[in-house]
Amino acid sequence: MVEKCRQRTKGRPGKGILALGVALLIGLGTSQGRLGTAIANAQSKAHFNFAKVFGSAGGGNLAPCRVISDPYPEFNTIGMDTKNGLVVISDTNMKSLLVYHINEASNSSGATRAIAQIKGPATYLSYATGVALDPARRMMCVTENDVGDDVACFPYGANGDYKASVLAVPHGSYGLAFSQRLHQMALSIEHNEQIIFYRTGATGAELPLRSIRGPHTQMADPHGIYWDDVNHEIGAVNHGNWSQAYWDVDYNGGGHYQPPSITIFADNAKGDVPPLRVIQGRHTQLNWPSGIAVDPVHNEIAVANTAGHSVLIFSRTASGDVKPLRVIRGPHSKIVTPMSVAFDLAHNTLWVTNFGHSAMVFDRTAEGDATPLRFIRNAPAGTRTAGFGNPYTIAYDSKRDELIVPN
Amino acid sequence: MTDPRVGSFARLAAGNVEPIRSIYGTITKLTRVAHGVTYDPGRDEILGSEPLASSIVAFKGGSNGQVAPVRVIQGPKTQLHQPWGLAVDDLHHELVVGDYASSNILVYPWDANGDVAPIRIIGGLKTRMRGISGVAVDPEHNLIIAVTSQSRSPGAEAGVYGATFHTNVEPGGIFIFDRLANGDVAPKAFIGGPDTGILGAKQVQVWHDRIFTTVSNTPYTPPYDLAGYAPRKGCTGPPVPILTVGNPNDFVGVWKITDDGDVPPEFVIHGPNTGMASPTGIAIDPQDGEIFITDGSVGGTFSFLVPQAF
Repeated sequence: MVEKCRQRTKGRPGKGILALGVALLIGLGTSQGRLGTAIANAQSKAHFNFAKVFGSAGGGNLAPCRVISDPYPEFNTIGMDTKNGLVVISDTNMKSLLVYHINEASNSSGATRAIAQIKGPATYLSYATGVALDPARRMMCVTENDVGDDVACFPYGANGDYKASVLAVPHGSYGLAFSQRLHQMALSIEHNEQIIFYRTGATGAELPLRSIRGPHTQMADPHGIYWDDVNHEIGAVNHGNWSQAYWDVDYNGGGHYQPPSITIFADNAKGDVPPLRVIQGRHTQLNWPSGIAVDPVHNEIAVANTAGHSVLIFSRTASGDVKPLRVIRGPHSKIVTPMSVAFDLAHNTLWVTNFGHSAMVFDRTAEGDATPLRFIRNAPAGTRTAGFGNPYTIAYDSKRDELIVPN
Repeated sequence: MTDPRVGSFARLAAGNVEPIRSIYGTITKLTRVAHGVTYDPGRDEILGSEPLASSIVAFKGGSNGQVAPVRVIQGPKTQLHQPWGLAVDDLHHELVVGDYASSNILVYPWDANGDVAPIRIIGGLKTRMRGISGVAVDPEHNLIIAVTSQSRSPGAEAGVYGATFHTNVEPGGIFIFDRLANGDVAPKAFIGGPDTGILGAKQVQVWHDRIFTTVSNTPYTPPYDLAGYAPRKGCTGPPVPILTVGNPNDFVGVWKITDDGDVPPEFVIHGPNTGMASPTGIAIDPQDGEIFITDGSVGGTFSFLVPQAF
């Protein structure tokens, strides 16, 4: 089969492809594969006769000619516990959590040494998005977007295929934050424009305590969130996509788009309440804002402005169509497709994760095309990335001989 | 859960390569969860379905960067809820959309723009469709083909995706309708049943007398109601982490366009050598005899050279 591929594609699959294929096969032979096999066996016993399905068909167990895939983790969202010196970053590609010491650095060209990588079927980790740490309970938690539908929590020190403590949550969860004051956990839900609240430590199918949702909230496809325990506020960044029709089949009003925004609420709000403040408009530069963090000491908000390839700093109390106080952007900053931000006020730094292979640590007051103080890397410097997030669908462009793949 | 870009790769690309073009940014009106994309050679357009905004967006072929769509189909008249699969009929100048939530097939003019009503809708109890995930159109045989993750069992209520999801349903399959069918009509043919191996079908393509589809047999039940208010009755926790476990019974299957009933596929791509864990998207290049697959578990695309399947 590979020989045929070589003839028709005018090129031999590279060593990387063959290595990737081996890695995939090894993966399927692990506990992941065993659990999948258990499901398959149950289906066969139920009413499917897969021996017959596959037995009479042509084709079969064929190797691919080509695979496009990134064999490294891809950083997504960052969580931090400055008191215990931990940084935790979610990874949607390998479906893992990477744990680093807060003073770790990778000023060489190699990957940064991680304290732990939590990964495997017992972890429930899949499309890992929002990360939050709870220093009081010494727990690190992550929420799973798409068909994950959960918050998975692990004790500090967890590693490998560690059995998670899990909570079922609505479909499309993204941001995650804790309140030590209210002993609650908050999640943003993209698909039905809400922030939903649970008791800290909730597991199983425990019911939510409350939610902020409805047209008056002005939320539309909320992503990252922060909880400001000092000022009793909770904030969310919104991509601006809105559709009640998505989740309400009796709703005939269709969907709409609105400009991206930051919506800030009282942290005890409930129901269809208007935000205390909204940052939105042309001057804000918001462009697919995905991550957000608050600095209650210096009264600032940082935003990972994904499609703007920038980090925007606003006054914590800003409102309306306002310009950022500072913008970090440019080739020296190395900020490309930033997904999340976090303040480390103990070291007066601002952390930024790119979707891909690097996180950067800046001086908290950095501005313009600033150079990072140091890097955290999950792959050797310069490693490219295919950049898949959730490659669900595909098309073939016959005019240009190209594959078209959305995230 | 990441940047919802649309990336383009050379067909012969392999390994850890970056896209040669990428459409991204607020101006594009792209959302996460693009569960359908198609290329229309007739108009040289890329069309994407955007469930989180109940919209369809169209870009000129070869678009790159932060560009506005040339057309957006969105609004109350469109009857769009969760558009997933897309297909363009270049012969009859029509756009066919499969809506997962309403379980309707919606047909629009191929140049539809704005708040436009569909010119035909296939949907209702008689169709037996539930959870349409992919559509294809066969102008040669005058057919529309839809694949579903489930199908309504006889006597099931007219419920759609919402609170009744996974109740009174049977496994999904391949539904074949006359292209001009309209309203609550029975399919002309249905490929489904234990011998087909289809518990849930994901996406579909058609070429001459062959139907190509991805089959995902890992059971998935969302823990909450679709509106996200409360866990479903009987829910005890999150679903099995299907993306990390994979399922050896997932496969790519090829059937004849004339098949009907509980018919095994005539050609499959299946097994550990494929490297796939959970195939979902499918595209085909008949000229080179290739099938292209996306797999969210692995996080990549797979190209198979299988001229014998065409």
